[in-house]
Amino acid sequence: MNSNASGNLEFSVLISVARLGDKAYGAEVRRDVAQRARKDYSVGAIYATLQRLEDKGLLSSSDTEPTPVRGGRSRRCFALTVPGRQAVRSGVATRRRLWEGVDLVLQRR
Amino acid sequence: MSPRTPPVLASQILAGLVAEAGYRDAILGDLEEEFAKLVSRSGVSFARRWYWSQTLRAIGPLTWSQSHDFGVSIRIAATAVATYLMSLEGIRAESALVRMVIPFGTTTLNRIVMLACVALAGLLAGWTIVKALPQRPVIGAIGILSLVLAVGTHHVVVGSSAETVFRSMKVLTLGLAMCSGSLLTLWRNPALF
Repeated sequence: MNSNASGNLEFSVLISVARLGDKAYGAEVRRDVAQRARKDYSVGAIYATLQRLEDKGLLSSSDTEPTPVRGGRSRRCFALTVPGRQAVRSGVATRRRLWEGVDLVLQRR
Repeated sequence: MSPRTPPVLASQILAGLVAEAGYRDAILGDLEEEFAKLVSRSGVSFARRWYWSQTLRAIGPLTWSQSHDFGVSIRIAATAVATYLMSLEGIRAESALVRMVIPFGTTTLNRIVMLACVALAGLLAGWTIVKALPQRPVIGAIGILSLVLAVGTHHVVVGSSAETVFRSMKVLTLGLAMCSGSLLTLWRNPALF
């Protein structure tokens, strides 16, 4: 099992779940990722990613009580697992390392 | 059906794409919640268009993510085969249908519209039959039997004199298959009545 958030969207969704905390459910994650990435992701793309991250063991989920505004359906809330937190830390560290020195190069041109 | 509810067919398509009940409820619930917000903000027709666009855009990612599930893979493959057969038979029977339904002439536009309608009907019937087969085996079996009859009739019967009669039979059996598909959809969605 691949336990890393390998794709760009996977990583974006993972840090969005970390940021949103208790409010991390599909629609809210989609809004957050779309706002920050400035790209309109579909509900299907976000849920497919959430499910993949859960399969990898990086997220856990729990269902809330059904509500009338959702047609009597429940919300599925997501939270980072311990490997999920490690994946966020490792992903951030990798991206920082990749950025090292780039600012100087960009300023020169 | 109330116009302030999300499109039933779109919800059905989404529900059919997700095997796990928890995820299915979460996706449909999120869309319904967003739909209600859009209705009050931008109107029903905008909200319905948005719902349909979300459904169509979800087909690729959800089909791909569910494809690891053996049951879903089998269902998708069976639907593809059923759709192919029904659409193929529909297209073959198209000339007979054109004569029966549009007696005043067969322009190119008429033929294209008929082909599109037959292909779409085949797709919907194939999808509903295969999807609902486990829940309603008798009606599903009638649909599949009709399909087999339609295909069998075409292949068994040869000869120009008998062809016209059997073409009509083929159209009827194809129609029966499509009706049973529609019946299944209605059965599973009483709100449509």
